Amino acid sequence: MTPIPRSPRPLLRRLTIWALAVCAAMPVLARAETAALTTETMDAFFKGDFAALDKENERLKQGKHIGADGGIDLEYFRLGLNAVINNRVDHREPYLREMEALTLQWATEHPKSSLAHILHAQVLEAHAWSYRGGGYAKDVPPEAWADFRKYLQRAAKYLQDHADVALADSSAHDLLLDIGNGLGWDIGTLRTIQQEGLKRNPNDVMLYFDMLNPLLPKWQGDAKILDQYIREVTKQTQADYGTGMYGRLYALAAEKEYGHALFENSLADWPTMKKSYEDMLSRFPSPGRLNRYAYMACLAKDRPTLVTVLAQIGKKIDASLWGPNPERSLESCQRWAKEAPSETKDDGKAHKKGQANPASL
Amino acid sequence: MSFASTSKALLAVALACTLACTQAATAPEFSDDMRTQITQGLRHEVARIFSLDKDIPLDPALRAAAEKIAEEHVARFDKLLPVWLSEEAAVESLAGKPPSFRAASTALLARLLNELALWQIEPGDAHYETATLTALRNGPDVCYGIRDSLAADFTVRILRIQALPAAEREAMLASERQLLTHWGQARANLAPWPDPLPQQAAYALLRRGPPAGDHPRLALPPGLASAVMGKGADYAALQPGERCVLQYWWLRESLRQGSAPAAVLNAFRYDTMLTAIARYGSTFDKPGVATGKDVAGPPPYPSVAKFFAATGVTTVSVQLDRDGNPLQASVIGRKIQVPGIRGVRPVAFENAFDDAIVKYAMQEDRHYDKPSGDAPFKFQMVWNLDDDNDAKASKGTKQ
Repeated sequence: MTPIPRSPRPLLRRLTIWALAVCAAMPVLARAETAALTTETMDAFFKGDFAALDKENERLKQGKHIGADGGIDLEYFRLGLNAVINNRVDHREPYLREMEALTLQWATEHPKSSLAHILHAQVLEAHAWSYRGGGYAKDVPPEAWADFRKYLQRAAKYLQDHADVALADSSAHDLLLDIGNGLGWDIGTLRTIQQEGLKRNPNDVMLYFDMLNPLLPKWQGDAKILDQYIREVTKQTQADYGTGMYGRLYALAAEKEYGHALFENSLADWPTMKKSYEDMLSRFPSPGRLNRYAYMACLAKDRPTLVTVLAQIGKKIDASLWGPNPERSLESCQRWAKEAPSETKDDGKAHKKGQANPASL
Repeated sequence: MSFASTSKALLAVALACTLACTQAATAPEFSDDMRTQITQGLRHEVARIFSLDKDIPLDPALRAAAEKIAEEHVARFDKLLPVWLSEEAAVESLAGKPPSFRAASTALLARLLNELALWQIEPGDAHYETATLTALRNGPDVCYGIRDSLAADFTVRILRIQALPAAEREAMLASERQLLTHWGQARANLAPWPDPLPQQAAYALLRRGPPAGDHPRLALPPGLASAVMGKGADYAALQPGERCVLQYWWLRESLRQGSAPAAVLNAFRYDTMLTAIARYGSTFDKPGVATGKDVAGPPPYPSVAKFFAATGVTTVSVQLDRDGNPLQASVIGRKIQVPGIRGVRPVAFENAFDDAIVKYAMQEDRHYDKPSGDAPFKFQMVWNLDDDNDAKASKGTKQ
């Protein structure tokens, strides 16, 4: 992807390390370690090598490009782009304004490039979130809300103004879903955007994940709407993922809202979820997903499954995939797996109704 | 761009000579061993600079042609070295001194560094200049991916040729071959240092903030934007790779502004020239520690300059506020002498005192008697060393 990819690049490596901290906060679906494509994308973007980025986007915006672990390359490409745009710096405002100017320059120089337009809108969206921040809504000053909305509206309008080029690419729909979520667009509008995106690229499964957010009870949905959606998506994606999307989407729902109460407050069903993971792993063997599966089995108090999966993982334990306090979660789950069955009162409940608390996908 | 410890290898030649000079200093002439040690050390460095990293993706035909030029040049340098060595012995003899191994080895290293620097700033014929500017403007930045960037003088020129249409290659390679034949000769019509220096001009523009309607400019690539805008890094704080990106960006921005192509190319060449300071500065002096705190005292003598016994005069221009406090200082004149360099400008050493004198001029609490009007305050600093070349006291003298 980059002209000279194999040599030492201390500066880019340093920038990549900083930016990866941002990646770590994003919903990486299968891999704990950074995918090579993400790193290459970040390298090219940090260098300002638009030609390399555009070439890669053109390659990925059609076709399946499903990795051995079940993740799609488009996802890892987008992670690289996001990491650069959301790069951690001391002075965010001038950095974002510079990025706005750069991406607008690219869009002017390459008016037929969907990526150029999408990147510009994406920077505007990042600018919006720099006002909003990631904290509680109550901590956001009223003036910041106004700027947040203003920049999101600018981003939406920019995509609308360049719809003929930008909306030929499902990455624009992926971005519009985020923008629409921020602006509180109704579910119907968002579903239309998602469907339009899937028409452009039926293999862009990220559109399924992005649509989940507004369906959560804390936004516009409820448990029933969510369950209906997840089951529907699971059917639609069966050819490629079997029942895999069921587990992945509910795991995301747990991460976004339900947390420890996933199986109490949603309609998620552990046996179905377990089958979903088995299905996914049979198609796409992945140490990362095995770790998540084991973690969820632990939370579901399904010791037999936990013991089996831990044995399968062997030395490939990745503590980073074990929830919000991963090392402690891993420790306690491993300890519980070694206890005699009679020592714990929760045994036997899991197969009736799972009590999983997946914090990751 | 990797700036790992590559520069230390070349310097080790001179340092090794320094260690050996105790026993050699009194010898009436160079022994064969010493002669061999000097010439082999320098030859090794030239061969290193003129070798192309096998991992760099070069078109095979271009690589082969470039390697042939490199081979010819190393052979040419092999013939130059004994001549240079004899010249140093003659200079010492004229001064009534016995041939000093230490002086000769350092002088020859200085001469090599200067030939490399002269080669970097010397323009070619009109076609070469136009094509080079085209490659720099439109081709990829050669800032990352080169393993040994302090020894990549030849490599970056060949990569530049690769960025041009294939039809250009033969003529460009012929020009490269021609320019290399100038080693050891006087150079006519070398352009002076750009004023202001490119990095000063670039930062003056960047300080106005991100591009906007009232001050349009090319946007920075994200990596550089992160350092300059996101972290507020000044030029001195930039990593070598970031500086390189800034140099390319400034070249393109200067052209966008309508600056004369020859001036833009000259500024780029000076900006990217590997001077003695660029190659060895951080080996001798840690960045940021050279400023003395005594406002009344002289500036410290840069260690690289001291090692090569560089002396001379720098002229400084200081912009002042209404109270006579310094706002900005820049070097506007450089008259430098370096043992071993004769008949050509010592361009590799001309900026050896820049950093020290600018820091001195901008020192906190320094106050100037403001000249009338908006004219900047100008002064000269004379840089002298004692005969023993080991003077502890700094010799910068304000005139």
